[in-house]
Amino acid sequence: MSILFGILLLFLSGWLILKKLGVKIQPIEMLAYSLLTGIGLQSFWMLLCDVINIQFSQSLLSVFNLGFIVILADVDAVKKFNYEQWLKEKAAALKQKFLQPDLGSMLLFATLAGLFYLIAVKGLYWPTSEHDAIGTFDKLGIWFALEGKIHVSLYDVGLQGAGGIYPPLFPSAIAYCYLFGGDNPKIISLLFYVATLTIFFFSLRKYNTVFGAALFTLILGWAPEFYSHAALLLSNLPAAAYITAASLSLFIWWKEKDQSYFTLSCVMIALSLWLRQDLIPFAAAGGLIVLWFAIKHKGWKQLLIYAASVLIPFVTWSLYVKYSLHLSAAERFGAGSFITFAKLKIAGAYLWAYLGFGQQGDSPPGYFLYGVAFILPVVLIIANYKNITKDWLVIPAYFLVSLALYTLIFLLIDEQLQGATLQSLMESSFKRGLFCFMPVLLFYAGASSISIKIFSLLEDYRNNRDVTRSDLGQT
Amino acid sequence: MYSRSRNIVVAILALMLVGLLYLLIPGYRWAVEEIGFKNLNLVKKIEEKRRRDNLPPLTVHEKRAFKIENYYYMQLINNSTPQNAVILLPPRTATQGTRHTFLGESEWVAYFIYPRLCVGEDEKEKLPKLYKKVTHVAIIKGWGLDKLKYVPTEKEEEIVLPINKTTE
Repeated sequence: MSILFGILLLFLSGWLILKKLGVKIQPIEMLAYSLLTGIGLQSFWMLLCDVINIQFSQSLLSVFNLGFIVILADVDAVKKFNYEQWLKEKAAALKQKFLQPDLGSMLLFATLAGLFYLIAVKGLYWPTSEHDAIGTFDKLGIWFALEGKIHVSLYDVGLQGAGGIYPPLFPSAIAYCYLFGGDNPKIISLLFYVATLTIFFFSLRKYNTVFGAALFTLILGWAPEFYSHAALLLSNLPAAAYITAASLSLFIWWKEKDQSYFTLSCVMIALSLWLRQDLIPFAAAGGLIVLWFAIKHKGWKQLLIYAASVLIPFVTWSLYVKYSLHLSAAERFGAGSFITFAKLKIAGAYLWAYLGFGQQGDSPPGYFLYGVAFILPVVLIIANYKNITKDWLVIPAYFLVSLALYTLIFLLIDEQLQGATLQSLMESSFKRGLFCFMPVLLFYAGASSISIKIFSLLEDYRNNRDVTRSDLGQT
Repeated sequence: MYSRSRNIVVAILALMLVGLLYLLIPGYRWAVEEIGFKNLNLVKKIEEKRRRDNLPPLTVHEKRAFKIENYYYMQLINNSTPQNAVILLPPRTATQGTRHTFLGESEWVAYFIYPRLCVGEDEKEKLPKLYKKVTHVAIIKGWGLDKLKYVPTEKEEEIVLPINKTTE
């Protein structure tokens, strides 16, 4: 029961932060962004307690969150809200949907729900057993909860694990779950999974039909390697959640000039760097888009806000690592190494294998790790060649820059210090890191002219009428 | 105008798309069969047997023992050592090819033995301070007997013993 209260606090605190920042989007979409924001806020509370040397606990976090909610809540708006009218409208809309059900979309949603049920059973029944979660994330989460601080004793004896140098968002989320009585922190992974799919669906729904958006969401949610991570306690799925939110909202802002989405993108990119600093390629690619906007529209204010969103979490954690944890990134990752032709050849071969038909891996399923999540967009992009310069040019630019920088990080890794060859890194970390690219590419394909045309025709057929542009973007 | 028959056609199309993905792409089948249903059936089987035998729900330790091959050894460490113990773990050469693949990794073992600490034989240069504080030795297949400062009376293949005879 107490974990449900904890989750409610995540949603409420996140919702109110976003409201105060002026975000105005659809309620369900807002819930997904609120969850990601609320989770990030908890790690901030924990860091604050750590810095002022107070042990955090369930009661202290509850007081912080409730106090925060009371301060931020717009009581007048809550009082003035016409619940009766709202309920009436919702009931009428539901009745309409019930009387005229969109059977195709319902079938796709039912498939997603079935997949979610299966993975939830797996995730929630079994305790953590994956190597990296035991070695770092879950271990740190338990210690955070037990010792009530971020600088736990594990750091003093060097047992924090390989991911101990990562920022605290993910272990903080795990600690939060334990503190609120959750006996299995993998509920956090399931929440990240749902948030990713929700944000993806509602982002694409603005440009495609419900059926089209649902189909692309299914392709994302069912991508085998990504799907399996919903039952694990690793930081790759949360990374995909924050990058999906940060990148898609940036694209929507670029297209619609809706300030809400720019705000969301800034919050999400800040939180992504508060989760893993190696997500910096996405911040850099996003930064280029904002710079492009700034030059084009004299939007220097936006550029400054975006730069601050990237720099504040990055610098804060770097300082904490240096002055509180007394660790050095160079100690863990080395000062880098040279890029050789042999390394380029290995990276190229793996990129080709992961993004194409020859998807290979050393762990199950071994092939087609991402299903058609990369292949289908490539096919659609080729079919969309006529509109390639008109449609969302910003997305391929973002994709290519972030992929090039992301690959560069791996090419520069000191293999000796890591105790792993480039080949093994490409088959583990690199492979899982590609989760972040799937939603970007799928969104590009789903929002392309050809895709909209195909699904609009289908919608036209389904409703026995002509589809106009105004039909799109309404849920 | 809403058309039920056309909606059914679209639903059939959706069903065909899902079916094609499932049948043609091995990864999707793996996700549903191996990750989904295989686990669901296993959980159902465990729970049915538990209810039939009138047993309480599985504890986290029992579930871990199900998933982690050498979890019993982690419990052996906890049962054989005091809470302030520092355990010396075997090197990779001693664990390779056994069920104890990760036993030499202190970062992994530390998770199970709180509040005890541990250090791997392979980590003596990386963690010299902890290595000097070792109070117990995790012995597997004879490795570690030479680390003891006495001749043990116990001859078990897998045991955790104090490094000094006087250590409790």
